[in-house]
Amino acid sequence: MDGSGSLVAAVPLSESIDFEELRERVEDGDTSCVLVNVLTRAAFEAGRIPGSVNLPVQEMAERAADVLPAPEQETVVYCASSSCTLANQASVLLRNLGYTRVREYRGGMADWIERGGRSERAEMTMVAGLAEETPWMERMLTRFSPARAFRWATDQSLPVLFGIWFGTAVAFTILYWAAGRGAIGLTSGGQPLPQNFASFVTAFAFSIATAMSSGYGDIVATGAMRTAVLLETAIGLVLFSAIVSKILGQQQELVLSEIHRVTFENRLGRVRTNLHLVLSDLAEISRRCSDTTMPQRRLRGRIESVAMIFAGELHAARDLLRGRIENADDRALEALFACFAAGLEELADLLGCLTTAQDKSGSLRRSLRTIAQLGGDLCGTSSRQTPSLCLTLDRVQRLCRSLSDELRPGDAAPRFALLGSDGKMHRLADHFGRKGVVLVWFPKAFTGG
Amino acid sequence: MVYAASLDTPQINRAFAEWTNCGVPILCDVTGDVAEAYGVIDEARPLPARVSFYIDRNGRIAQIDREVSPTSHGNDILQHARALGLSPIARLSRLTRASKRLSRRVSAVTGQP
Repeated sequence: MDGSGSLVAAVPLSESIDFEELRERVEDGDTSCVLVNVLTRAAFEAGRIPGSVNLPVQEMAERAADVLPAPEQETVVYCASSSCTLANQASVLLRNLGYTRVREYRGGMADWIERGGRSERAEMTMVAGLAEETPWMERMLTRFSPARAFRWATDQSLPVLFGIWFGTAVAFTILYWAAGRGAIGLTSGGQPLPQNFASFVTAFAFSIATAMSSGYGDIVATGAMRTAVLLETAIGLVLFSAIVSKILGQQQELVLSEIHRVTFENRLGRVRTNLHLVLSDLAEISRRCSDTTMPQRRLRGRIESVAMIFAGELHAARDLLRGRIENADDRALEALFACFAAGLEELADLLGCLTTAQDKSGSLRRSLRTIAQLGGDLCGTSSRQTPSLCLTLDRVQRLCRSLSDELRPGDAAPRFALLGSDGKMHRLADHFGRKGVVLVWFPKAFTGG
Repeated sequence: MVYAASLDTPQINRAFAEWTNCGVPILCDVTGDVAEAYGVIDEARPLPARVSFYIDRNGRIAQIDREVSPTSHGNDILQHARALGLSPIARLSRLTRASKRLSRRVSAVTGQP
């Protein structure tokens, strides 16, 4: 590696190979040339030209003879990209090692991928190799790891967990007690416990203390029973910590739901405040409605802006209703939507102030259409609403819909008289009393339909 | 009677009608007033949305189809017209065929189904 830096300067650039030729050879499965990836093993595994072998430039001097046994074979070296000098170093090194036909793919992996060359990853073989090499002990450990046991434990419900924990403690109690006298039982103050009811209670207390992973000084297990004690401690540790984390998690959920409730009320309050501002604005405008001195243009502007804000607030209220939390105060919501209903009636009256239909500008129409749409969304937002809230919502919905001039089945179709592509004039009125008409709107000619 | 309608000029729509060979007159609402009255102007573009109005012989709207798919359109119209008892329209089958042909052409050009 150290020597290669000076070699680069001394030896002229090696012969190169371009993408097209390389791809042709790779796709033909040409075995007369060997492709060498001179990057590190990790980079080689992440992506390489199919059929390449890996020979990091750092290991080249030692391993070249093993990896590339035929010095007279055509050899193509490449690295990451055209700015990477490793391929050049490698080609110089290889030629110094006696390889006669070394060519360099200067573009490297970057050029290969950019031009659409297929790359291959070593992932599969690597994983398979790992699985084969892993000793059985490691495999067992990954299968029965404490982390896995703990994950399983936290998935169980609290009563189940407690039941298992308690059952384990009882089972070990019986084991300690039944193992009985002498060498392998429990001893208290050096004396083995006798097999009576009192000693069963003692064994039970010992077992519970062990399952809670806390010691119990005066009673000691002897002999092989120590192994059982260790096993119970391990099981107890996992189960008991799962139980504790479950209880803490419940506390956390309580806090979260409290945060949700506060946020919800916050948003409700904000919508309510804004709505009251809009209502007072509406009242103000309707006073001006009869005022003939006020130019129609300014009135229109005010109505436009108030309709826009109204639509915005209705949007916020709709979202509020959708994100409605459990135990939400339905009366507060009902009051809010009653306010909306009042506002909508006022808005409908205000629209009467506009003397001609042309006064409805595009933005006003848009706002009204939005309001109608949002009104439609109010229905069925939540299944657990009180009946009176439902009634209020229904009223708001109807009012919203009546604001928009959107056509509905049953309305009279607007008349038209238009020139057709056949050069004739077509009038809707011509068809009255004779035939039905289907009018199919499409955005633009030559757009597929 | 079936009309297609857009905001294009008669020249463009004549070319379009010939190209699709659908046999349905395309109305040219150059000013956009009729589209505005029908409320089909898509504010974002602003061009008419794909909406079909079924108008009965008394000039009342019988049905509004706002979910029009460009590919199954001809078929949809035929079914709706039958369901609504509008007079059977011979040209509709031609429209169906033309619509299919058109969607094939469009997908051939755009490369999308």
